Amino acid sequence: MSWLDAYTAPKQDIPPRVYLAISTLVAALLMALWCLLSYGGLVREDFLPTPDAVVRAAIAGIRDGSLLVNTAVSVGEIMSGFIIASVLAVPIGILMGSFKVVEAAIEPVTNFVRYLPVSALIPLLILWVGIGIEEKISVIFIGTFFQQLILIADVSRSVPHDLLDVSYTLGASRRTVVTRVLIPATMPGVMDTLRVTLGWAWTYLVVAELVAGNKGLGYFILNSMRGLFTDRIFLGIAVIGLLGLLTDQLFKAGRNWLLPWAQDL
Amino acid sequence: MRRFATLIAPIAAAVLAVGINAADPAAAETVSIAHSTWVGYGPLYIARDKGFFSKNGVDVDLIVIEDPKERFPTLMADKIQMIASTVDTALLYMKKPDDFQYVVAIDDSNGGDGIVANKDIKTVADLKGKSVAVNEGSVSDFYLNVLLSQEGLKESDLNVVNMTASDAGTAFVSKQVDAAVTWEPWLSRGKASEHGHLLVDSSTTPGLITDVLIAKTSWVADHKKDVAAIVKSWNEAVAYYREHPDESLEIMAKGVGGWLKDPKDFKETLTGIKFYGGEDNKTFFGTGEKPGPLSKTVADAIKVWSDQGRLQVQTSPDKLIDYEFVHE
Repeated sequence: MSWLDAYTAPKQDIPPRVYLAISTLVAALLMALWCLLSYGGLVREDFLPTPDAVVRAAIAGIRDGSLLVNTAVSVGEIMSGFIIASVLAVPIGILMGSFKVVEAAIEPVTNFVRYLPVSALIPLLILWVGIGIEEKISVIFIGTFFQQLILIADVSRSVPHDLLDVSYTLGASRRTVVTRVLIPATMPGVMDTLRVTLGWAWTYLVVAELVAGNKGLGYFILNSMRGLFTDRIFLGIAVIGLLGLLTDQLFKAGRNWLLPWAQDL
Repeated sequence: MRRFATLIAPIAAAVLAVGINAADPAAAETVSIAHSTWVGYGPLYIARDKGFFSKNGVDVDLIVIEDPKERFPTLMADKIQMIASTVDTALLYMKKPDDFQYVVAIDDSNGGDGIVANKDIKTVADLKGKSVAVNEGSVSDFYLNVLLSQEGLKESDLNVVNMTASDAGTAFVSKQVDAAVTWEPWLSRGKASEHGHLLVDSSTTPGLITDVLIAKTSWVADHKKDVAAIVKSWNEAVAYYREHPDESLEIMAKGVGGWLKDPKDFKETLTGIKFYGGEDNKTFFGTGEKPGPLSKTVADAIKVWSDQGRLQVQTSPDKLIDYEFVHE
């Protein structure tokens, strides 16, 4: 039973083959459960669609092009909101975690805003921003930016003091310490934060497309709720989930490629 | 151990209680009726608080579920037994031609819904090519389509911008769209804005935007006594309101609550609707042989939704209207 011993040790790597096998097995079990519940007639079809109903909905969506358009529109909105939020949150967050002056200025406001439910702000966003794509990007931005700030500030706060002290001892200037030690040391954590918050950005999609949406996956799901088309609701959710899985992998690969020295951090 | 026991005892008791309830079908079944926060549903609270339901031998629980997208799945899953909603809404959720039955009419929008538009838009026909905010698939959308078809127009002739009725009001007031299909209080606000006026309201289309009590056909068949008692209580409540308006306003405002909890606001909003009492219901429903105006409204809704491809089944008014109870 030496393999069992090896695979159950905490924080130890397991062979990629085994990793993949476990992931596939769990996914297959979930699929089997879905098939059992739907084909087995244990749950009514209008409450839980069968897998082939979802596939047929997907084929219909691909045929008339609507699925691709909806996906493209949503990806555009999410990425715009997310990129604008990240470009601002990364530098401000790093400064917040490292300079008490910046922290005092920004953190209390951030902690106030990040608790606000974005859906409650929609009437105000209509008045201030309008009903175009700016409004949707604003929803995504508000939903992600303030969370990113707090997380990135934490990342930069947890850079060990020893690193800075050693650099000073070796004669580095303040500027060098910030640009050559502090910022590189935050990068692995920053990448992880971006990866996690991109997922959060997606969760705001339905809220974002409540107003003046006539394309997009969020609109598609909302519209399918009217009439309870569970197969289309599942399709929308599945596409969002798959996109999430894909971007997550891209982020992981990007982290390994950009920060090869930080693979174990 | 004793701490554990004090913790677990109430939970065990609760589990047991639920188990007993579920296992005793002989106990009087509670009929849950879901509705949104709207003046039209006020007499349900008169019927409850004045004891009409219990006098007629039915146990009713009134629940607020604002969004029809949540209300109908709740009914379909048998978590509730009846819904107060507009005629057109139920059609969207039907998976079989006779899934639901309309058993009694509740109220008719009489100016409570409408379209506010920029001042240069003088008729419904002028909406052509303009941006119009409307909640797709909602009662507002149904209303807009019926008005457009009277002018020989289609929704595709407009630039439709999809959003909820109150967001539509907000968007119109802040000049983001040329017109909005919405309801009170946004009709008043739109009218009061510098650039806007009331283009049309529901007082010109009586019987079109009508709330009804809706239940699953299979449930109605097994609960005829309950349904009859509820319909009777409803008609009694409307009669009571007409005789004692001031007391009724207090009861209704308190019961419906939300943004209508002040009897003054309730009374003001009430001017936009008309209740269906016992006699009104007889005329509005008609009989199987001689259907009343309700049949036309259902037919209109079937036409609008099937033109938009929103209907999942082919159906007809006589499959959905239950003429029995209003004549008892």
